[in-house]
Amino acid sequence: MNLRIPTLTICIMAALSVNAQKDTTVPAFGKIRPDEIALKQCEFDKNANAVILFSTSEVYFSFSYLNNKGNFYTVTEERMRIKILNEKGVGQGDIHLLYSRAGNLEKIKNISAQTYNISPNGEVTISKLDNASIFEKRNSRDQAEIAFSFPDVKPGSIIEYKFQRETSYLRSRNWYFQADIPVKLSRYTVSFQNELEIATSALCTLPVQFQDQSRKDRQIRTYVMTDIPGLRDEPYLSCIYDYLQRVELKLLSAKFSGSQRQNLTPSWGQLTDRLNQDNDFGMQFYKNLSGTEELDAQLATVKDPLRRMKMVYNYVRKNMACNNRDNYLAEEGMKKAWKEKTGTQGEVNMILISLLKEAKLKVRPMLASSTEHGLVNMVIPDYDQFNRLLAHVTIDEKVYVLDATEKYTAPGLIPHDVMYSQGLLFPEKNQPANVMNFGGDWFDIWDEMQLFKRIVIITADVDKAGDLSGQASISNFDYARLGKSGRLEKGNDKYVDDIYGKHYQGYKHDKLQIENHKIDSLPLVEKFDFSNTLPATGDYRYFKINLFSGLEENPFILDKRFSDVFFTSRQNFQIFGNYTIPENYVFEELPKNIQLIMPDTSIVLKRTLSAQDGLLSVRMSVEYRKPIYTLDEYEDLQEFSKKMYGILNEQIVIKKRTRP
Amino acid sequence: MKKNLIPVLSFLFAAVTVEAQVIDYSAASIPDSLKTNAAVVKRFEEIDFEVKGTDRSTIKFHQVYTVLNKKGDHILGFNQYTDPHTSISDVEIKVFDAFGKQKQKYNKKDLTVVAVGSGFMDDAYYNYLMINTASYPVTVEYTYEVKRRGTLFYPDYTIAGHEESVQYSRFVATISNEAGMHFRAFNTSQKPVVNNPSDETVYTWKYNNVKAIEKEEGTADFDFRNPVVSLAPNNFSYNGYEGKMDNWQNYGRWAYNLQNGRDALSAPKQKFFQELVKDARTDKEKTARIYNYLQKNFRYVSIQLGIGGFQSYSAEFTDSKKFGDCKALSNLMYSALKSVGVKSHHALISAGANNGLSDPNFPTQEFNHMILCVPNASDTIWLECTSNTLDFGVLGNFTENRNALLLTENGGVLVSTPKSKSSANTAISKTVIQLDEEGGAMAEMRVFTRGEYKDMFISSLHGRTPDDQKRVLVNYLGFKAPDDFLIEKKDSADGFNTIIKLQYEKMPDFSSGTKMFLPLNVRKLVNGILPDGKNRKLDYYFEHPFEKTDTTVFYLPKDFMVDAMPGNMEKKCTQGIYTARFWYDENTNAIWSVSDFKLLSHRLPASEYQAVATFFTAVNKDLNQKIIIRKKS
Repeated sequence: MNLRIPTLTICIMAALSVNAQKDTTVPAFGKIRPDEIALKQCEFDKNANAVILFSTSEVYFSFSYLNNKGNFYTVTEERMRIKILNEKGVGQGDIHLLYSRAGNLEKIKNISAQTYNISPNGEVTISKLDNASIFEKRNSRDQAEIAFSFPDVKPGSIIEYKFQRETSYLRSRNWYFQADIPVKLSRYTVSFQNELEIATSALCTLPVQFQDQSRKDRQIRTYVMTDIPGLRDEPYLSCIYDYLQRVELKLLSAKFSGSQRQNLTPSWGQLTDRLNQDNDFGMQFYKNLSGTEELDAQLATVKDPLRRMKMVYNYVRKNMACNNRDNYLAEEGMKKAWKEKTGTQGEVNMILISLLKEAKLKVRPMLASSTEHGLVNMVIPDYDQFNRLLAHVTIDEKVYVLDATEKYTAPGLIPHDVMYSQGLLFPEKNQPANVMNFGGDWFDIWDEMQLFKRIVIITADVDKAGDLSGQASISNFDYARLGKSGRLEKGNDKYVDDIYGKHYQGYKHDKLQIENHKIDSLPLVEKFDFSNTLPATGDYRYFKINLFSGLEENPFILDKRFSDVFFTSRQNFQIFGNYTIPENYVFEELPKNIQLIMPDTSIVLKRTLSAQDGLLSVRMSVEYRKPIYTLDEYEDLQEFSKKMYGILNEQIVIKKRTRP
Repeated sequence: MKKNLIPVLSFLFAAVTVEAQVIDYSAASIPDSLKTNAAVVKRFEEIDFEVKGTDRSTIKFHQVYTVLNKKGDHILGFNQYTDPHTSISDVEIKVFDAFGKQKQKYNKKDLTVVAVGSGFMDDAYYNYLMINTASYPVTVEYTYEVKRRGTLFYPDYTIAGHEESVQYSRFVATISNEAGMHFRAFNTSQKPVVNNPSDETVYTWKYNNVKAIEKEEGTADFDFRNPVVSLAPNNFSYNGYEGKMDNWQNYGRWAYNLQNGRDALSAPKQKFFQELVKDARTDKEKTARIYNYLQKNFRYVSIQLGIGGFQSYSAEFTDSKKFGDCKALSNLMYSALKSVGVKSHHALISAGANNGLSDPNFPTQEFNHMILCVPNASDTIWLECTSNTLDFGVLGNFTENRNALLLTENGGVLVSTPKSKSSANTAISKTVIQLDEEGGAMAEMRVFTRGEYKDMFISSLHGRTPDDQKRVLVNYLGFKAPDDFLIEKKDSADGFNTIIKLQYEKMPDFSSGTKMFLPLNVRKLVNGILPDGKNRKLDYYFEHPFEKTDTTVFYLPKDFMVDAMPGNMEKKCTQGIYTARFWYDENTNAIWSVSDFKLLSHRLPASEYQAVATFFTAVNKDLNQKIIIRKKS
């Protein structure tokens, strides 16, 4: 099962021909075109404050072979021209060019920058950036920047800069067509010698033009995209880099006359093998760990493998702190990490996997990428695609996925961060890799029975004065436990205010009890008393029945979206309520029993109410049956959400009896 | 013989009476009284601050904290700032478990160094380490030394932070007589022990068993209940520039000298400004014209390198680039005014809503911003030179309600900036809503805004994408989420107006049978209540005082009539007043609602907190009422 197909697939590209419909040439540095001067608004992104007129990058891979030693280098020529459309866009005049500090192998040079201002009579004034205004700064151990600020920038200005980047190795970076402001034209050119084999894939939903040219000794590939709207953050967005229109570049191999072909990119099988032999990964596993007497004593009395697995998982969680959640490799080494009781995400789980093996469980290491880190691209093998090491445990044909850096996740619940993604499996201890040389051993990290589930039970009454008071009991299962468990680490004080304050202003609450905070295999239960003075108009009073569910506010109010909506898991909400009203009030017409289903049946909302003798019984349920909605499904989702929240938030109206 | 005996004897006695402070790393020995209200217990602290001459200082830290729960996580983040004048050394960090057993050890090479990156360009770095723990309580020990060149900044001695209790803390300041020191104690009456060996003065503070104090929400930066001693130099040097800080006048003189002479503008440039104001009749008018010109042609870029953190680029340079930071832009304004014969002063200030007061009796370097003051017999004009959108002469809550230090030829003069007025921040709206039989509605709102609301509308609403606008309307301005909308600017004679057109498929919040329950208007006049504060001790601060008025007319569909309307409302308290009136006009089959909310002051005294919190809760309840209409039978 191929779980998450990236929305941006390798697209069919239109050929770039001499008679191309769109002009893909860019003017020379310093030459401003009349249409650029005349531009007052971006037609395809009308509210944009600035627009990139063009952004081009020419990557030139080169190689020289001297004295039996090969030297690779990359020269990149970058150009950018931006038009400032209004006040809010003037900040585009502050430029930061980042580069790598590692080994002093990268340099930025030959910067030219100037601002063009056009007077009402059409005269163009040029303000050049002087070298004294260029700053160089070290940002961190690995990164530095060159920064400069354009002089004389105001609405209507055009700014442009160009520079060269020289790197003493083959620098393969992705090219992003899209930016946070609209781009009129983005052009990416890669030029490489025939001896090099390169894979470029354009990942996009917008049309892209492509041209492949051969010269005597090299190949030139050009990608052009035009009229690209700008992009920003949105609710339930997994990882922005998965959705940016882009070209991914990978150096595959180099073959020089007289020598063997060198593979620059391993296959998944080779990558698995290499990692398995790596000192910071495969060689760390299964070493003996001392000081585990407490665990040994516990395990001595238990035979059941599932219980044994839970014991080991809880033991490692209790003892190990994580100092870097994004590093699946060892830094100090597993043994030192165990001694100091702190390690990288990789070290903590190496310890877990080693101890699970010692407890005689069938366990395999598995690499995965968290939602935020981005989707794994299964076409291009790369070590950097992953950021998590997990334990893949098999007991009686059932698989459990464990990450011992998860503080609030019960053993057996797939960690939230990696749910609904692909994991790369490694062989069991001392077993050969079970793969063909090319492919990898992939595992679908998904369980449709693991939910975000919440059940709310309300018992309340309205008194003669029109005040509502009652008890609430909220049970949070599986993924619904996570956020609240985290908050409870800070104590019960002000807990109800923090969790419910936003949508329940003016509600009073008391007698908070929490059950199963530390027992993560059971639902987390919150119990408290609450009361609220009901709003009244004339003889009417009204009250909400969608209480404390987490479904108070529709998150999908925006009309345009460019990314999938990712919920991570299936979801289930149930609300039960019993309300009594005083003798001197009657129910007005109640909201109807209703069932609302998405066209593809992926979301089901049900509501039933019945009232008799002053007692109202309410039952509402919402079921989300799939964890992801793709871009083309968003319109339906938005429409449905609007209706659904309208129904959930309908209130019950009661009216004072009029004397007969 | 006897003579020699005595020195030996006194040496022996000194050894016996020396206080040996033993550190207990185990969490079990913390007395219960120190755990109440505490997320952190400071077990041991010895800080030695030393100033040599007027240009070098060192601070040695030795601190041991036990973090009791997640609320104290901030203690587990070690972060020290370095720049060309500040360096750290001898860093040793140790982590102990609940029993006091050492688990980990780190030193300087384990720190991550990262650029601060505030503004466009600066030369400062963070040196940090995050300590991770699997369980609480956990104990950490920090030992490190900070060396500084330049003595503009003396450290604060924070005896205890919020929700932090203290077992033992000792602070010693050894100050050369050349530099000298003045200090101010907050929330502690303890006086330091002072000694005067040779040419320096030694101040010693010592504390034992200080109980933890809770943090209250919504307090101003300068208002707190935990004990702190602030220190400041009498004489200092910074980046080679020497100065005095024994009083505001002298400190102002130093800052004035840094700025002096950077105001030169070329003759053609001066002529340009003179032309700009040539037919202006008053100084005020001249100032307004120049301010307006700067707002339209310059932008804010922050570059803080070395003394550039305190001295602006020259006026000529700023003018050539058409950008600058608060100092450069204020300086350019100053120079432009000078060229047309208007006198003004650079003014240093501690900016930020409800930040920094500047105490007339305690001069210290706490300024982070510069504005311009144009003195005038009848009304002084204050200018925020970094804003492209503020009205002329309006500062906003960023710098109102505090003291600023004017830099004059006679040194520094502390004067107060204007107080925030509710009538300066207004939003007056008129809304017309047409309802249809199915409950759909078309609404048009015209909003006139001044002050903070005008600024907010300009920066967050106008010129933004429709999706960003919708987010602001619904999440910040309390609008009912529309299905479609359009926002337009309308500059008119009476000021800045915004037209918001909205379309709703379902205007009622809910229905019952043929009865529709409508909200009182398309947006809530006030959104939110005050946090719980039964035994509040400190004043509560709002962002700014304001006045909002709304007039809404609902035109009912032909076959509909009023079923019930809220009665007129009025709620009052010392800080605010809310009124609402409702009536039905038979001729037009329309329901009118006029409501008004005033928050009179940004500062709410602790003694009145409960009463005002009750007021807000009551007003929110009123705003949740509905207008009920139904189909004529």
